[in-house]
Amino acid sequence: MTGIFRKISALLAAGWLVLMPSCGKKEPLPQPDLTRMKAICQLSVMDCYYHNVVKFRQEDASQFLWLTWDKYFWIEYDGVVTLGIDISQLDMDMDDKRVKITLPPAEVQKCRVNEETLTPDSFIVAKDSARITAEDERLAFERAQADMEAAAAGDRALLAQAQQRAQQLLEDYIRNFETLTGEHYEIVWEYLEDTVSEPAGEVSSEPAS
Amino acid sequence: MEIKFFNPLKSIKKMKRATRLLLIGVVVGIVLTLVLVNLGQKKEKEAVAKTISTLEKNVQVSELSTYTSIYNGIATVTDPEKPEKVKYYVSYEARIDAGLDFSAIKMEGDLKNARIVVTLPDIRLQEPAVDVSSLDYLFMDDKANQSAVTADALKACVADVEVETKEEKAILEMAEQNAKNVLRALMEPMLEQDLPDYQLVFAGEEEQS
Repeated sequence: MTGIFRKISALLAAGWLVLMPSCGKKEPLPQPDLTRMKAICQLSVMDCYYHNVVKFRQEDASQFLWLTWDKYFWIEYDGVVTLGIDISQLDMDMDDKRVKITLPPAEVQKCRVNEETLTPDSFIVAKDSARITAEDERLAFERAQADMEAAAAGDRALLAQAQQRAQQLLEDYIRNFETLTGEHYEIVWEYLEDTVSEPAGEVSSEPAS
Repeated sequence: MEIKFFNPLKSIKKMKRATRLLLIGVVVGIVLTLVLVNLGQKKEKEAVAKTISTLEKNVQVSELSTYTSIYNGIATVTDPEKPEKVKYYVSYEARIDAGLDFSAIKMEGDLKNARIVVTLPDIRLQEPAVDVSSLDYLFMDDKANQSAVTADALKACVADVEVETKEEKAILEMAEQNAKNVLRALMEPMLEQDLPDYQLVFAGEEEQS
């Protein structure tokens, strides 16, 4: 009986020795992480439905004696434009509680015309236009993709919205750490060139009190 | 015939002391395990409820609930007395915002499958905004080319974009997917911290995962 109790006591003591060092041990506070920020920016990518009109004009496309006719027609089609930031240019630098985030501008990442919407019915030909040929249709189809991409790339309001989306999500991510840890972070934004949301240079962002 | 009943206490008394102690140890172990498992499940339930409450608060204050689609279309204006006769076509540029009310998002903990299930409210289309300076004309009837054409053309464009965008499922589908991506970006970092074994799924998608 005494032997058994000694064995049980020895087991309990060994267990206590193993568990005690981990008692009262404080886990380090979590901190903002660049890998997670890049994952957030990938989720901030916006798919935009884009319905577009491309206008095709060729002057003096056909001629009879001194008479010339232009070719002029419109095509209506739709597609999807994906807007986001290049995460390879995103960077974060932490100095104690000061977080400096380098944010690249938004860009058109993908552009895809829905070919099912490019049909002969999509064409509207001007009244006095020269005859439209199959070759004209083919050229117009080719232009549709480039035209949509150019339209999206030139849409500063939409690009600004995409960049601000990424910025807002990153700011929310940092503010969540404040809730988790009780620490206060100062966020400083540095915008890479071609910025569409703020002037170039550093801008500090403080939480509302 | 004498019926003998099994008497556990008598059987235990007959055992050797070591065996008795081992049996007591096993029974105590089983009871402790059941108590700990029960306590563990209760704690998990509380942790899930607390995390959901925090996630809901974070999501409700987010300003990322609207998405812009570009609709550059062509409206057809016909002769009111002869509907088959087209007076002119007018191309226009418009924007439509689609959004959902983040405060109406519902979240539920699924402890059995270690998931937080998010149910989104319906996506709504806002009133489209047509840019009047973007109007361009293709006249089929030269008599229609008058200074007063703009007012009628604008009405036709607004009517056209309202009809076309209501029928276009892609706008709502894309808005929904964008909303899900933003919600993941907002919620997953916190979920990773508080409930690392839990997954975020959207209602309707949980059967697939």
